[in-house]
Amino acid sequence: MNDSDERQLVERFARGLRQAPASCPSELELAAYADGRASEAEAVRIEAHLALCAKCLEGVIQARQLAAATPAAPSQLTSRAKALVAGWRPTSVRRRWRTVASWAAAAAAAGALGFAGLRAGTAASKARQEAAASVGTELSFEAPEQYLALLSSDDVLGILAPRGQEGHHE
Amino acid sequence: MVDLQGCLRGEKRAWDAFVEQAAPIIFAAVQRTLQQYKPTVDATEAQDLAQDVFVRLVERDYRLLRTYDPSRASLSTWLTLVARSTTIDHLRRLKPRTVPLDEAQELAAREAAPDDSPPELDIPADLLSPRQHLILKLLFEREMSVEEAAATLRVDPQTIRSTKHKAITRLRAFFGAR
Repeated sequence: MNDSDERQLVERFARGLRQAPASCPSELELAAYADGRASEAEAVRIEAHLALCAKCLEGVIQARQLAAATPAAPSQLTSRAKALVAGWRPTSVRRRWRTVASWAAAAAAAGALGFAGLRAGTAASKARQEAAASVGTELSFEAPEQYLALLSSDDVLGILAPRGQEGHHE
Repeated sequence: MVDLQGCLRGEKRAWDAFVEQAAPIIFAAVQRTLQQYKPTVDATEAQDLAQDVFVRLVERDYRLLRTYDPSRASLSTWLTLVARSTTIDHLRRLKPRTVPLDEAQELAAREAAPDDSPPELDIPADLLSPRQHLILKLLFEREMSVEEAAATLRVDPQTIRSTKHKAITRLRAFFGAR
């Protein structure tokens, strides 16, 4: 396919390069290019960058590959992500209130309730769970499934929503 | 069909529909990026990072999601790249050297370290066009087939072959005389 003579030429070329890549294009610019929707001038500029930046090139390659076939997501992720936005149903919230009362009180005491709700379970927040657990809660943070099951309930999310709603604050 | 404006207004139904579409893409991109840079990928880590991406999209009144412009690119491609950036940032926070240096830094590192191979000529910046350079990179460095390179760049396989041929001819002419 690529014979060794050609390979040698390409390697000599690569070794002799003295160019540094310009700063990386934005995700939107790269996406436009990967979708074949960049203008001619933009495409040239981005290709010049891709030839010198492994990180951006890998991004474009991955985007093209995933566009071809995307495997399904774990259902737990879908539930957790949906739970980030509230479906407010006032009557059923009252029923659940008692269950989460102590947790809510603890989190409110610890600071921004909405923020804690948003961040819980993310890679960035696992350390915070221990701090919250030590305040004393009805729900154990050592049992994240319990918490996650609650999270996926629209009713409870009325409480955890980040938007300004009665009794909750950032 | 995703109702972006509905999402930005905080409408639950629009958001749920968005998540249904977005979760597979975000999860796959996170997982692939993790696999690239880590020998073993924890299933929870990929899910948590994917959730991080969703949080980034909604926080501060959907600030990141508002930057998406449907007239420029498809949502799925944009989400793939956002998911990748989030993952790479996460990896860099954990272990600064995990993600490979970009070309400029590699170049600087090479120049700083002694090298036994014969000193190479400086290549004029315009010896090859960006596309020629990129195609050679895909074929020789990434070891892609002509078809794979064509799919990546959204061109005909014949375009790949003829561009490669022109590029090699130029290199041969340049190095042949030296």
